[in-house]
Amino acid sequence: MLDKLKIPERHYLNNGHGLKSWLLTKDHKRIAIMYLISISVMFLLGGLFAMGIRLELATPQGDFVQADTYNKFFTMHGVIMVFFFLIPSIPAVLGNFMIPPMIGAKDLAFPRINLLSLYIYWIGGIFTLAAMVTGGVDTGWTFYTPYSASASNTHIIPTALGIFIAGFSSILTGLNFIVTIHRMRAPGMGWFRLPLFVWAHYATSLVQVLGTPVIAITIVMLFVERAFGFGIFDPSRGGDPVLFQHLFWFYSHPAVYIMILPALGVMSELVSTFSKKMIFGYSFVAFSSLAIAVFGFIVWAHHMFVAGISTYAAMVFSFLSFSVAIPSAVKVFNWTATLYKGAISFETPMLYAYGFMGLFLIGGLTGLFLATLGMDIHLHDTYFVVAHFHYIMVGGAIMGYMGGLHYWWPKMTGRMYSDFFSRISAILVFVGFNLTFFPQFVVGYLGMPRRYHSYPDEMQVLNVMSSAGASVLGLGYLLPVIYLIYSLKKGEVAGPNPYGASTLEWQTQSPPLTENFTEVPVVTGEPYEYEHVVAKESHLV
Amino acid sequence: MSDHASHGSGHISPISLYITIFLALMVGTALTVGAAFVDLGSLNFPVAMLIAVTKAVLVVWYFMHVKWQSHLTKLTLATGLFFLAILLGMMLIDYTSKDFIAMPRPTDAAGQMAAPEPASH
Amino acid sequence: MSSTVAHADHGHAHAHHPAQQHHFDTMAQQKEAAVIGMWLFLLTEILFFGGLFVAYMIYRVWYFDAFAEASRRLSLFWGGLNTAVLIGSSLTMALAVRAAQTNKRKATVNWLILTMILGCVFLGVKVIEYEDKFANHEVPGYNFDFSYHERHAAAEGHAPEASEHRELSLTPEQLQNTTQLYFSLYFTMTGLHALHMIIGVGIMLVITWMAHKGKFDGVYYTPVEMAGLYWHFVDIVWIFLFPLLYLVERHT
Repeated sequence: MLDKLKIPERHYLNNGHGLKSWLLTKDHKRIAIMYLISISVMFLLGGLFAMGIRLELATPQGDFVQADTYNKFFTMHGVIMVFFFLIPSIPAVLGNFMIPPMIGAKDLAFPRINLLSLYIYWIGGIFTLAAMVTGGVDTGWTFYTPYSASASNTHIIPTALGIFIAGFSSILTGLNFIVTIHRMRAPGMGWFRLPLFVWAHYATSLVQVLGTPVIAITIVMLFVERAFGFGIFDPSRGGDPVLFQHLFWFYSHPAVYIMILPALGVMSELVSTFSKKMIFGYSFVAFSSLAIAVFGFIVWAHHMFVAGISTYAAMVFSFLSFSVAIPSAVKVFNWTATLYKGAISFETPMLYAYGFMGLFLIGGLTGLFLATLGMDIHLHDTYFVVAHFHYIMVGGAIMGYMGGLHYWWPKMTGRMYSDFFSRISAILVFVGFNLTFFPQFVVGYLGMPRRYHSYPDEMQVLNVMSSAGASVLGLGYLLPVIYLIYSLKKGEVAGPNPYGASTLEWQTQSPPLTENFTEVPVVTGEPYEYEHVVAKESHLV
Repeated sequence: MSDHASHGSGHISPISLYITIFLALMVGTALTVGAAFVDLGSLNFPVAMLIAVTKAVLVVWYFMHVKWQSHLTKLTLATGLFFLAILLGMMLIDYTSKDFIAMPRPTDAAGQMAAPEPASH
Repeated sequence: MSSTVAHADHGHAHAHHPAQQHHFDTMAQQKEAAVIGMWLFLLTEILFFGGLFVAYMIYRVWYFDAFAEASRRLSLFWGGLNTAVLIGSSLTMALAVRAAQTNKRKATVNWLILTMILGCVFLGVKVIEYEDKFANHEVPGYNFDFSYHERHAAAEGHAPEASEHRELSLTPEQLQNTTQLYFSLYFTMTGLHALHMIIGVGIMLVITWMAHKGKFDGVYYTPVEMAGLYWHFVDIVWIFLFPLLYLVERHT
């Protein structure tokens, strides 16, 4: 009985036409869209390298490519996926777009710095891609010395420079979010009325600002060693290669929390909206984001248990690494409690959320195995580790990203995507993912090392399963490109609040105005109140 | 024309304060150079760092106006210093504990563990 | 959540300061945001230099004698002078900010110019120091030769300073290796610091031009203050670099 919905006349997408209006925009929403396109390109590139890896590993012998080339495959896959896809993904796309409307602001605190962070991301990407097409890097995305400092003759400097530059993009985004969340909230939007998505991004931003500079200086030290012959990590001159690892992981461990925290934030939004219920234990979930951010800084040496750190340090870091599982578990418990007796439904975003909960659980629990010092001695540098982090990064972070993208697509574009094809994709992703990565736990446990292009014959079945799964997963990621782009012109008009969500961004038109709100909202209620929301009928399975 | 509610200017310090801080910093510099020529044994380093920290605090508190900034600004600075301390402190956990616990070593036929290697640093 | 849409005073009941951006409600909010944003950036700089300081600390403990010996190769005169120059430039910078706060355009410009001059003096002295290092084969890498300085001084008839300090427990070969660590860190740390100063001078050129053009007043002088914060930070890094690099062990 609703009037036929129409795309509003004035919105951020038609406010100014032409390349200049996009490239010189200060609108956080347009910047988010440009980030969306950029990281999708990077995801495709990283995926191509993954394809190369899985093609090689379909057979036990190293017969697809040479060992050096294979080394470049997994290095570039890691570099692109970590630094140019996962770290920006949710914050730069969904965070950029949604945080101002969620808090009732017209834009981020520093719109021009937001644009600058996009430019910087592009420049960093160009450096790394240039290195890639002229020969690539074979050190692994972790660039360990002394191989990276003196022995490798691949294009380490431009790649590392690209990462260094992209790091600034990450820092500026984080900086922007922190100031915005502190100082740009609408009247009545107290800290404990913020959507948990905002809390999660606040925590992420802290990590971005505090952690990224350390990898920046590590890259500088690597650079001077390669370019000028300085010897900060050179053992022959008294340097310590493990110092590199310490400095590298001081950032790179918190970096994994940069990658997962935003997805945890998305999850809170999805679970609440699709069970029509206030998140159980709101403040616990909010503080758990902060706890993860802080704890994430004191566990890094669990990546170095067999690198030559002292036994005492290994024990300390192992113990601390258990502690970081606690706030993550708090979240999972709270989402489960939210679902209990909620009006749960199975729209596509929620399918991703359900998938997330199971896969993040497995990923997190296997992390505990790896944190156990004794077990890690055997599991380090095997496919068990690879499976663990892919469960978190792909089964967790990317599913969170996809869930969020599908959830907020109607808000960003004003259109709904195909219900049928989106569910098919979600299922393909879930099935393909498990087929790809679960066998890797097994082969890893059996001793198959990571970063090798060949393996013993008896591990072939599991590897073939993994490679087959990768094709399914790839298809699951390809389909959204098609149906999402299709929806831009042919999708059903979504209206302001197709899912009946309660947060502020859904109380505006879809797509939003450039200034987000015609009048500044004043917040009077608690977060996630559903009684007052009038929702369009949602499709229940 | 401009009402005070939207006034942007912060606290204005007297010039004499800046001169005083400058002189204190110069005295600190002279002190640290002087102290370097005195053999204080293992105290040389802490003394030098103490003087440096004091100078830094003066610059932060007065030149950078943090004394008159909001609680949030002060908290921001404190957070940065806290994480710097974590970087240094937790790295040192490894570097100062090399001898604390011996790595398990192979056992011989009689079931005795071999003696640990002497520390190299 | 439930929210009522209120009629925020977006009509122009009071005139906006020309420098107020549209997404801010007041100049005070805008300035506060800028200050916190700048401090967050300085936080990244603290952690950035912090990584180098950590590396330095560890190697200094491991190779104290080598570090002490290498540190004595630095000129206390130039280092001390530079410290005084930089602290002076912090004073002139603070006075520039104060002049902007009190709406004194000419004074702002003059103090900024003075700050830049002192900054360039610092950089000039660094050039002198670096030249000396290059000449004495004290740059790590292929041409590094720690004993060159002594042999050169002896050959020219100068009494080598080396005889004044205590016996070292290191062989010349060990010295040749581990002092390279010291100089690697010396050049990286002071080089990075100098790079920050060059950027700082560049920023100040822009700010000085803006001040000259009358873009600032007693209400809006945020760019000057931001430049000031950056410059003071660069000063603080040097306040630590000086004792750590120049004053490892200067007593006999």
